[in-house]
Amino acid sequence: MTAVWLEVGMLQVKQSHGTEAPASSSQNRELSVNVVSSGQAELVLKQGGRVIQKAVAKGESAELMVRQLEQTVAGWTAGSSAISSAMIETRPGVSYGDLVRVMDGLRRNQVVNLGVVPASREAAAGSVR
Amino acid sequence: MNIKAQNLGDRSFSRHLVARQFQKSRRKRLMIAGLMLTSMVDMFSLLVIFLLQTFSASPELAVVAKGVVLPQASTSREMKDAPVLAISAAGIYLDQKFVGLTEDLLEQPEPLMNKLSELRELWLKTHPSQSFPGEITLQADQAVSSAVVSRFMGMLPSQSFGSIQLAVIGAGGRS
Repeated sequence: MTAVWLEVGMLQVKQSHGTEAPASSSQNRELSVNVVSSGQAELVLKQGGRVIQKAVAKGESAELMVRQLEQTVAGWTAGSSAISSAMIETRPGVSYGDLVRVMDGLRRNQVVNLGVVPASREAAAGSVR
Repeated sequence: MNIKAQNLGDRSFSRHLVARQFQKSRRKRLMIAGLMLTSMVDMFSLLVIFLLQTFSASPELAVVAKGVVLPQASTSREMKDAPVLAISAAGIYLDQKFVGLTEDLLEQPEPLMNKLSELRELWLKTHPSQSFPGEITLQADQAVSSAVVSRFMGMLPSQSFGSIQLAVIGAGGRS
């Protein structure tokens, strides 16, 4: 018999429903992360609905990409107000493990209100087959 | 208990009782003498240490569904008690019960929606004076496509499960 200790924890995600919109003010900075592949993510920082920063995090692996993403977010938050929330979108080729890596990287930089953009039915069904 | 005359032999009943009492006390003495108190205390100490180390006030959520390898995260928090939705490449399980094949539920999610609705109704019946917290724990295999997971995450708020806990392996990982 093999015994393995698993320290199971959790990452909290808030999913909005229907027309429910998050309360935002002109001071709130919101981040959109589009994970294109396990080695590339596009970042867009918005304030009051207006795009104020854009960047692309790239790496040969998901770990390297997340490291660059963290550096970018840390640069955007240094000396200014924190980023209140982030919405993450992923392409079908990206694994759930990579999505959690991105979320973990954002949480390490005090971006704790995270949401995930639901994939379309076609995209989800296509990635199972 | 019946004591038959032939069992007593020539002895009187009072002598028989004295003899039995003597035998009993002798047996007891021997038993006490036979106990290794030091070893027993050692054993109980080890047991107490083991129980203290393994004790967790958090609910028993570490039951990871079959075929699910959880991703790792360094910023995880302690889990709260909530229904567990497990997603693997093969199937979907709600509180350890098979709901359907992943592919089928992506096309026709009604069986999952009905189960979630039942869970919510049951919670509301058992907690009539409280508002529904809408918490659910999601255990998904790290190799599953994020599109599949996000699709199911998008379905959950329609049944008032808007606060999703993603189960991960904490910073401690495996030892």
